[in-house]
Amino acid sequence: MANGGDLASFLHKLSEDPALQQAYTNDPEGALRDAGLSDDTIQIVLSRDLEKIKAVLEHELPGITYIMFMVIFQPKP
Amino acid sequence: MVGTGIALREQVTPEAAAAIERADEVLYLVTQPLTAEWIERTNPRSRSLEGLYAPGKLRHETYAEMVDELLAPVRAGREVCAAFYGHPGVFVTPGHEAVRRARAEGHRARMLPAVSALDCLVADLGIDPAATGLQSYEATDFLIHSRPLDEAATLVLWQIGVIGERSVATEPSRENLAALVERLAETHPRDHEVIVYEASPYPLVADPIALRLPLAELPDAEVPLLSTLVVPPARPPARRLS
Repeated sequence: MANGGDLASFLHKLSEDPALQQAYTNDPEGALRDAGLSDDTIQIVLSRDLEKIKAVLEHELPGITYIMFMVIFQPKP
Repeated sequence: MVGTGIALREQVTPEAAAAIERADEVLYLVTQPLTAEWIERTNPRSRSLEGLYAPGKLRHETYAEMVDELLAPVRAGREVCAAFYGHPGVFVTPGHEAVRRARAEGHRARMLPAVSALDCLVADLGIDPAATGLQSYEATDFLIHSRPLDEAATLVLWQIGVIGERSVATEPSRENLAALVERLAETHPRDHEVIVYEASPYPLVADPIALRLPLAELPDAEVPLLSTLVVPPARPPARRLS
């Protein structure tokens, strides 16, 4: 499967494709290689480390800000 | 008013997806660009509310503007779907206010339930609120107000990554976290284990963050901006009746 080789595209497809979810469950590394991801990215994803995976996504999608618009509750003064 | 859950797409309920799809206009505020992409693909008449945030702008001003943005097309007779990250009624100031004002102006408005960070926390950490009882406060609210604290119950403090911040935060304040430790140390031992928790937006590939540490070490810990603090009970409840 070729999807451009970026993690964001892979995660997007994974979130919507039950067949890919099954393939990933059975063989995570194989599914990541089929997606054309780099060795470095594959190792990071296989670590299941959320902060490292976020860092890859932030590198792929420069300018995204998790911090700017996530805080959506204002306690009453 | 719908929520997109914490994950990219997997936690959007069928009724929320249908509401997004059929709306004349979708206004959304989500943390994940991939979720935003899915919303815009599902309904091309979508736009983000993100631009209303600005450094230095007080959050309550931003929220007031969000409510106005949501209500303007409603007043024009359009069917509007507001989509927020998580649950649209859990720690979403503009969510409840928009519903309240829409109804007050005679419009039909409905909030749909969704997966919140608390739902993920219960599942990931194996905490059953029925077992210990559950107290839950927004962290800044807990710090500045005199809130009763039951040390025999599980305590969940939301938004510790931005504790004490009134505007936009880029990193947690160590000073404010230290003040939180002092408050908790009134009832809990300083070596009591607490959990810094963040749900995974990519549960298929990434584990949630669950950093277990002694209470006293919280100010020096790596506290993600999106994280929640879980304080397990310090003692069993006292029995009143036999």
